[in-house]
Amino acid sequence: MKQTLTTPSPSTRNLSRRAFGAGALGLGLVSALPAHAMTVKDAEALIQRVLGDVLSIINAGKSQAAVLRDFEGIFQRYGDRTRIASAILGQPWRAASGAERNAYVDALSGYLARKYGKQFADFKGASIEISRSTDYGRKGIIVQSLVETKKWSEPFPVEWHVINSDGQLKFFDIIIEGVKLLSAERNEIRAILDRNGGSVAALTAALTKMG
Amino acid sequence: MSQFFDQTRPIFARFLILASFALAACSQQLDRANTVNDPIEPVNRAVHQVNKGLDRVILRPASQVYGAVTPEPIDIALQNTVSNLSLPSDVVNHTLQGDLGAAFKMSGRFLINSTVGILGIFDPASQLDLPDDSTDFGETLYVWGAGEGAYIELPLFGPSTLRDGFGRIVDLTINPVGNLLPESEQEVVTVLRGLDLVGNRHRLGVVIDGVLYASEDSYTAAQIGYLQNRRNALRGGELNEADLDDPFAFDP
Repeated sequence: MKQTLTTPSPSTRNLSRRAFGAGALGLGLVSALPAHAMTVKDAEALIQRVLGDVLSIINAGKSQAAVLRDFEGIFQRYGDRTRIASAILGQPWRAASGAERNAYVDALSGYLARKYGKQFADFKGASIEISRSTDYGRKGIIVQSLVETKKWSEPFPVEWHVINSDGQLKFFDIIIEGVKLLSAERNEIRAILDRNGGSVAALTAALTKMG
Repeated sequence: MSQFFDQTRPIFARFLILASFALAACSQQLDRANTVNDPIEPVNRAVHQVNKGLDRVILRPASQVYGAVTPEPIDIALQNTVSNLSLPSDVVNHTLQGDLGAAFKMSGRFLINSTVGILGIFDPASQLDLPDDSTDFGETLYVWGAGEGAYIELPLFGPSTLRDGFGRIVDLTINPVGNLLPESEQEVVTVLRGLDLVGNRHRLGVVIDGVLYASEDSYTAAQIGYLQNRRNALRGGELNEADLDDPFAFDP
């Protein structure tokens, strides 16, 4: 079934139109654009690099510990760790001190890398291709990749929410088959926070042992 | 007994279709993006515990055995065969949704894969630009304008909504393959579907284990996963801008 979007129709490009897009979104424009602006082409280039790194990690055949360490490297290099961490924590972020925030961001990215690294390791032998991208304006760009594994007869989508992170492109959310990492983790992190009486420091300590 | 069902099924089906129009008319305002409507949460949580127990003692161990003994080509053949068997029902639902193009394509897919693809074991249709476009009566209700309704966790089947749970009953009732095949072959179909369920549990092993056994609250984890996945699929895989987190919400 084909349903059209009701919210501001975003401009979706298919891969086949990439060459056209690359020409139309001329390079000279970039410096004149507002801070949140970026091109679909830039976002796709970032995800292309991420995917290249992800695939080489899962196919390198290293030990699981080494694989998970490499995944944390991907988070550090390509992910907007601070905005991911604040979006997951929600309101308690505002009340936390600078030191508390830093420790929580570090603990969370280790936890996420371990947890999702394990899931990505399951994609061994997979091929991943960028299939299309959609520009949502201020909120950023969604780059969709299709993962084809030997396990499934049909490929499935993994989408990357790319944002302009203070002048550098970073990913902010990963959406697997429509399920947002940020939503799933917000649910987890808030449960751990509640269990620890709302203490961000205690949450941080718990996270270092999890994932 | 089976005769009783054969005679009553058309009436039952008609009743369900009429009832779905009523559902479509009265529950439109319940569908709000990104919200969870869970008025019977205590009941759902109890069902969830039972489902989780069944997974732990039956489905999960069975899926591990399946993974250990099933060679990849057999696994793919099973996925192909079961998905081929659902094509007639897809054709019915695409038609009810007014998507005659998809209904026509899925008819072609069924004809090609059932013959050239030897009863659906192989999938030559995908190479002929007729990829699978599966649907169900829950989606038909969505297209007709029915609201999502309350979240429900169904016994055995797991997370669902009022609309999708109702759709499931209709799909089981109008199931063209089940109704046209002789009884002995229906049993084969049931066994294949059961095996495919176990196979799916195996293929989704890490993800489902994560939701059920590694999460803080497996009930809400399964709920979020189901609702976001289903809503996204119903929108044809398009994300809603409103569903995306605001990346700059906590900027100083």
